[in-house]
Amino acid sequence: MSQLNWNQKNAVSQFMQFTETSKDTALRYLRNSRFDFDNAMNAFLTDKTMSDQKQDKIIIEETFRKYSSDKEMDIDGIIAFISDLGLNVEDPIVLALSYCIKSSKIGAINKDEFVKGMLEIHCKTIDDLKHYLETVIKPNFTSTEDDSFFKEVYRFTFGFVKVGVQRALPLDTAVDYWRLLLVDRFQLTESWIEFSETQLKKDVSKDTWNMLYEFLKEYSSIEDLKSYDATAAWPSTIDKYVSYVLSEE
Amino acid sequence: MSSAVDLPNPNNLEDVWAYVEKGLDILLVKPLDEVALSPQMYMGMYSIIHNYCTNVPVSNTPFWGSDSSSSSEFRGVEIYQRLSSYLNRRLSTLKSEVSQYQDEELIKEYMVRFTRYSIGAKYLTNVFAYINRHWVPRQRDDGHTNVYDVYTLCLMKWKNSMLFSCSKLLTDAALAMIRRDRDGEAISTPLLSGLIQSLVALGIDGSDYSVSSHQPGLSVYEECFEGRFLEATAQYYKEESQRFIASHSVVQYMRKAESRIAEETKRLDEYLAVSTTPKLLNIVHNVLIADYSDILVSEHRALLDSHSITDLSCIYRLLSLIPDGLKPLMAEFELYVRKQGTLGIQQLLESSAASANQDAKAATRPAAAVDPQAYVSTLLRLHSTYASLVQEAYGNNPEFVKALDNACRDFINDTKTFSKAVRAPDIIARYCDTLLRKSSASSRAAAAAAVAVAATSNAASASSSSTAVDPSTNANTISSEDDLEAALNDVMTIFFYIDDKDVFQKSYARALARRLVNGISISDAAEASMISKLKDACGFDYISVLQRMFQDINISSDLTQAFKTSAEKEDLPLDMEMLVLGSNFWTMQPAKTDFQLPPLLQESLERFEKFYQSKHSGRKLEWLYNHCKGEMRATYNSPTGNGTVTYTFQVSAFQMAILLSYNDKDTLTYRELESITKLNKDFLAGSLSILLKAKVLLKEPQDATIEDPETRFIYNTGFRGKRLRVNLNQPLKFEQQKEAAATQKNIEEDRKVLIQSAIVRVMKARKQLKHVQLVQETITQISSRFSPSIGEIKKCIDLLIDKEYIARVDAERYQYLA
Repeated sequence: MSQLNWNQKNAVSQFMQFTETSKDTALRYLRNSRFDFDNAMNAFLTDKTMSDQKQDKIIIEETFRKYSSDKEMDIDGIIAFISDLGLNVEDPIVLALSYCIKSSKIGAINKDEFVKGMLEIHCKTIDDLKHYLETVIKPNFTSTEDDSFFKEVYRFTFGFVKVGVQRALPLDTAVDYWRLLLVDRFQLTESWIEFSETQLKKDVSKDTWNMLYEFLKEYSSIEDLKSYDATAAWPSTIDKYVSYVLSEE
Repeated sequence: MSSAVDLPNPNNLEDVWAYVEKGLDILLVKPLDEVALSPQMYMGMYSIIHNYCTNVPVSNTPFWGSDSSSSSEFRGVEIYQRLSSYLNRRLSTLKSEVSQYQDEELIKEYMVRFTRYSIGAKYLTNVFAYINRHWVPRQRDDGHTNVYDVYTLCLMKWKNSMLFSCSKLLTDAALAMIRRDRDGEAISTPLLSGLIQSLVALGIDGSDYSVSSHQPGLSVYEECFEGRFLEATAQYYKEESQRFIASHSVVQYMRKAESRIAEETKRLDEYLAVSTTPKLLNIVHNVLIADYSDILVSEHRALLDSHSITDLSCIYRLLSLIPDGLKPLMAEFELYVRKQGTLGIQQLLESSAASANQDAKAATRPAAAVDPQAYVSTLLRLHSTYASLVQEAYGNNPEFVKALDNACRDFINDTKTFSKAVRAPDIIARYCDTLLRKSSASSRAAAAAAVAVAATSNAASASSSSTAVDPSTNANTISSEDDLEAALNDVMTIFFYIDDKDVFQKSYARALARRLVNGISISDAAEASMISKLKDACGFDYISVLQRMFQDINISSDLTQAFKTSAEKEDLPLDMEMLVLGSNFWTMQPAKTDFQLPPLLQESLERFEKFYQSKHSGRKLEWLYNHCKGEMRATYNSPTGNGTVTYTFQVSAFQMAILLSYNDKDTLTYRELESITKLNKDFLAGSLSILLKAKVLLKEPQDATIEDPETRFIYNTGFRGKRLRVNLNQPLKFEQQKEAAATQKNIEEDRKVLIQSAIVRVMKARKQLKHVQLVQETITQISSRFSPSIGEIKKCIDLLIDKEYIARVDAERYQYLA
């Protein structure tokens, strides 16, 4: 210690003042950066966030462990998790929640994904999450002026509920989620579902899934469909739907 | 010189003018033939004016000197003014002279005076040359725009006093004359043309002081005459055409209108000003044609039906004179050709259906009901009828040629009106096949073993494939190479209209495969000629497969030769020919059945395979037994009891396998045959049914079904044929149908690939593109092969999005994903 010159001593005391740490810590960082004050500060701050995160991570993992002792939360854990949040599994907002915590597959929550997702929205505990749900997710999800969050959740749902490497979504699954998400929102949803069940009878491609949202948003009644242009960029499944509906009329 | 002595004193204006006025009377008033102005007088007038203007009194010099810039340093204004008032007097005399005349007389008298006056005016130019040269320009420079050179002054005076006072009467008279002209009376056209020229000549507005330096304007002509003339014309023809059409046919009206238009054109040449041409014709065309265009168009319809070319051509000429006049005609023509085309094909179908009804066999096969040759000749007849109509009636107008093309394309590709059986690309490809194939009789004689093996006789002796061509049965209607070439060119005429060129290509390739494999192509030269035509029409890509097929055949024939001289061939008891064909280029598929080749043939095959592997190791040979054929000889005891009769059977490989089994036994059950040949039910029963029908084999019990395992098939030792050569190698029906279905499916698959690759090509080049443009460019890329529907293209876009070749950027744009 005695070997420190005046400049170095000055740096140590300044470092301690800025970071509210002990002299030992200050010396460790400064020595590691050869008494370059800025570099030492940078290193310290990086470590600090890391350790903060580490602590956060521990808390989040604890939260996770309440529902699963394993790497993955199974369906029972998820049901408990969701009801602790005061939600019903059938509630479409669960999809929005899954989207926010970056859950990749329905029916299981991976611990690493869970931790990463929670960190990103700065939630550690169930209470944090409840708060986030009330103040951020719900207002955005139900907003009538701006449907951009809802649309993101809708688009996310395709990959979220799809099983395996199949490109397309099985029709019955797709129909379930259309019922859950779109029926209350768009008038023609029921008629689309009827068409896809009785006429199309085919799995739903990602493009059809995505474009359906735009389509239902743009055409809100059968009357509107009379101005539909089948040569425009809509997927051909939607062309089929329109010509079917108009021929039924 | 003496005259100079007679000249008055240039300083005395009164004397000077008195002298000049005497001259003017001679120049302007005296009858022309009496104009005898002596050179002295002429010179004198010029000189005195010159002298007067230049002879400035000496005493006045200082006074003028102080005002040297003023024009008044030239004397002249007095002369000019006196001339002007002289002209006024003269003109009022003339005015009162002509005022007593009317009509044609008026024109005549007016013109006499105008001619006299304007000739005089030209003389004046010379006499007043000094004023013109010096005084007038100076005055104009000083801004006196109402000063003109003397000739212009004369004309302006005439225009303002003489013409304006009687222009209405003159025009009345002229219009009356023109009306008489139109009514067919003889009139004096020089008189009219003179009047009109005079009006044009008077088209001066004085803005430029010299008429000689610029072209006269048309203002006077237009004001005094043209407007009223055009009005009268419109009125005249309106009345006439209404009267005429009420009592005559439309065709007569057309003739009348055309001759009227010709008359007016002539009239323009004879006495009207050039500038009137577009206006007059425009009015005449409007009144005579545009007002009747509806009637003409509906007459056109009737004339098309009666195919009256001269009248059609007359309507065409008339309507081509008015803007957009031909458009309804083109639409009518296109519609008509389309209707006639559809009708023509329908009649063909009905007549072939009628003949099919007489022939019960054909009736069971509706797909074959359309005779390709009749179909193609119907199309050609329709096309040439209307092509010559376009030429004769519509002067080969490119727009009409286009209308014809559109109509032809429409009815030739019309799949909605006609059943699937009438698909133009297929039928036309079949027609090509009939052209390029040796006629059925001669092909029967030309026996060549295909794709694998030739055969042995029933007595197990070697057979050779004899190739005697029966000269009497040379190809049906095509008698010479030139005729064939002409027929192929005709095919190309129609080929041009086919939308689904890819379908044609598939059918053509299939037929070509048959011709090549069976060796029944009429000639290599003809085949090559047709392929080069297709290449010219659609590019190298289109025919590359066809060319590869030829290559394979040539290589195979070399290969067979090499095999025959090789060691492997030694001691083989039969003659054989092999075709080795690239599976990528040939559409033929192996039969979906097991097959056990007879041992005799099996050995030949194995030796050939060994030979082939020694040349091309690593290539896999797959034998298409269903395309193999051969000849067998069977020797029967003559029915008369002495000697024998030997028949040659042309058979498929399957039939050969069946018949060879009878070398050992005379009776075999279905089950036994099944285990010998390993053929499945379709092929075994099919092959047997042909042998039974020809009575080469007999069935026992007779009422048993063929495919009953216990049915016995007995070799018919009492076989009798009408000819010594019997063709038993008939195609199995179920196979043909399968082939056609497979082709259809192939085409759809190929199209998807074509569309997708076109989309990817476009997107790769453009990176980002709007939907509408992508569709448009894709259609452009593919249209030489077929016309893709927007629906098909959209499906392919969907697929490519799914496969992540492209992605949506927004509601109407796509992005290429590398």
